[in-house]
Amino acid sequence: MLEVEHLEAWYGEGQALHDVSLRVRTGEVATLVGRNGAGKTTTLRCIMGMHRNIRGRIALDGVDLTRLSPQRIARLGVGYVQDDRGIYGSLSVLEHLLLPPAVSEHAWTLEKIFEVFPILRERARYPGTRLSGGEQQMLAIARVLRMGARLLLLDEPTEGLAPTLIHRIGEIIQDIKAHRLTVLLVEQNLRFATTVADRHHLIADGRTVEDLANEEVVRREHQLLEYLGV
Amino acid sequence: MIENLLLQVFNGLVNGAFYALLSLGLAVIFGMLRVINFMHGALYMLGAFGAYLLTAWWGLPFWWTLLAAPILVAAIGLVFERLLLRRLYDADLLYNLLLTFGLALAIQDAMRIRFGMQGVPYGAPAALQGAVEIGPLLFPAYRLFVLAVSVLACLGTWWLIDRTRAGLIIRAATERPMLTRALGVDVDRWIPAVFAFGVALAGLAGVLAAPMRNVSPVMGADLIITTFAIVVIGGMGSILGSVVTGFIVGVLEALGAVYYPSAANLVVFILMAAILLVRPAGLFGSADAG
Ligand SMILES: Nc1ncnc2c1ncn2[C@@H]1O[C@H](COP(=O)(O)OP(=O)(O)OP(=O)(O)O)[C@@H](O)[C@H]1O
Ligand SMILES: [Mg+2]
Repeated sequence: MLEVEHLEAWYGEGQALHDVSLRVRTGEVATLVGRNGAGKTTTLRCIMGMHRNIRGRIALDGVDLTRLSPQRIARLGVGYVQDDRGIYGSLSVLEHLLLPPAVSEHAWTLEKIFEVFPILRERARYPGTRLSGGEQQMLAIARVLRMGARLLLLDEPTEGLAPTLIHRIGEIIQDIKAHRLTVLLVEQNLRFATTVADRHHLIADGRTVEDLANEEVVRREHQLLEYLGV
Repeated sequence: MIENLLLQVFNGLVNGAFYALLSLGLAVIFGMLRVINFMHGALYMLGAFGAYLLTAWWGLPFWWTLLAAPILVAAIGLVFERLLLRRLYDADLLYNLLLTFGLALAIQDAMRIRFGMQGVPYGAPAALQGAVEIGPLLFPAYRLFVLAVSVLACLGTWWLIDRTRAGLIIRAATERPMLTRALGVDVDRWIPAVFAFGVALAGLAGVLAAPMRNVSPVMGADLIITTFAIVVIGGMGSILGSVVTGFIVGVLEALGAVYYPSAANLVVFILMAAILLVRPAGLFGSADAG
C-alpha cells in the first residue's frame, strides 16, 4: 500500500503542494485527476524521491520513502513513467529494457515483455527516440515492468495519443492490474480514467480535495468534467 | 605542392590525435560527472613526466611507460576524485571547475619547483626513429605511431561505450542523470572508474607527447584551452563529437599555420563561434542532453 499524508512541496519559495493525501491499496489502480498545474506531476516526483524540498509522509508498505534517493526507491519496486516518457536517444529499444536492474522477483523477462509488447521486439535495434509517441509510451512502461516494479507511477500516458493507442494503453493497464501490481495514474482524460481505475483522487491547487470510487465518478461525470475544466 | 599539403594534413592529424585523446577524456568525464575537469592539462603533463621519471629512475623502456604512466595518472586522478571532487557533485558546476582549476595550478607549480621551467629531454625509442616511406612521401615513424595509438584508443573507448554494460550506463547517465537513477541504476558506483578512465586518456596523451614535445610543467596549460573549445564545438559530452572535432581542429590549425600563420591559433575559436551560432548544442550535441 502506498500512503501519502499531508504532503507539501516547494519550488524555491513557491509552494506547489499544500496538502496532498492519498492511499493506494496493493493491486489497485488509482488516478490523480486535476487541472493543469494542480500538482499531479509534482506529487509523483515527490513519491519517486526526485523532489527534495518536501514535508509530510510518504510510505510504501510501511517503509518511509521521504528520505530515500530515487535509486533506493526504484529498488523498492517503484517504477516511474514520466510525462515526457524519458526515452534515451543514445540507447536502442533493447538497451532501454536491459538498463534497469531487476529489483524483485516480479521482474518481467524479455520474453514476456515481447509477448505483451510485440512492437518492441520488431523495433529492438532502433534508437529509442526513433519510435512513435505511442511506441515510446509502451517502451517506458515496459522498461519499469522489466525492472520489476510493483507500484507504477504513470504520468499522463495517453497524452497526445490517437484513440486506438489510448485504448491499447488501457488494455496494458488492465494487464498490469491482472498481475496484482499497483498503479497510480495521472490523467486529464476522465473518460479514459474511468475505464481503468478503481478509485480517483481529485487534486486542485496542490490539495487533494476528494477521493471517489469509480462508480461515483461515472455517475457524476458531467459535474466533475466541469469542475476539472476539461 | 600537393605533397606539402599532404604533409601538413598529416601533421595536423598528429596534433589532432592529442586533441582527440584529451577532449575524449574530458567529454566522458563531463557527460557522467558533470564536472568540467580543468586539471586535465595538468594530468596530461603528469603523464609525460611519468614517462620521463619511470625511464630515468627505473630504466623502464618507453613501451612500458605507455602502459604504466596512464595507470599512475589514473590513480592520482582517483585520489583527487575520492578526496575532493566528489564532495562537490551536488553543488553548482562552478565549484568543481574552480576546484580543478586550483588543483591544476598547484600540480603545475609543484612540478615547476621540482623540475624547473626548462623541461626535460625524452627521446623516442630506437625502433620508432627515422621515417617511413609511403608513396612519394616520408613520414616520421614516431608520428605515425602516435596517430595509430590515438586512433586505436579512440576506437577502444567507442567500443567500451557502445558495447559494454558500463558503457550503457554511461550513455544513459550522460543523457538523463536523474531518470537513470530513478530506474534503479547505481550510477554513482561507476563515477570513480569513469573519472579514472578519462584522466588515463590524458595520461596516455602525455606519454605520447613526451618524445615529441618539450616535457615541461606548462605543456598542458598551453593545450587545455583549445581542448575545451573542441569539447564545446563537438557538443558537451558527445564522444564522437569530441574525437572528430579534435582531428578537424588539428588539421585546420596545421593548414592555418602554413597558409595564414597569423590566424593559426585563432582557428579553433573562430570555428567555435561559427558552430555555436548555427548549432548552439555543438556539432554532435543534442539540445536536450542537459
Ligand atoms: N520546475 C518548476 N519550477 C517552479 N515551479 C514549478 C516547476 N514545476 C512545476 N511548478 C509549479 O508547480 C505547480 C504544480 O505543477 P505540476 O507540474 O505538478 O502540475 P501538473 O498537475 O502536473 O500539471 P500538468 O497537468 O500541466 O502536467 C504549478 O503551479 C507549476 O507552475
Ligand atoms: Mg504534469
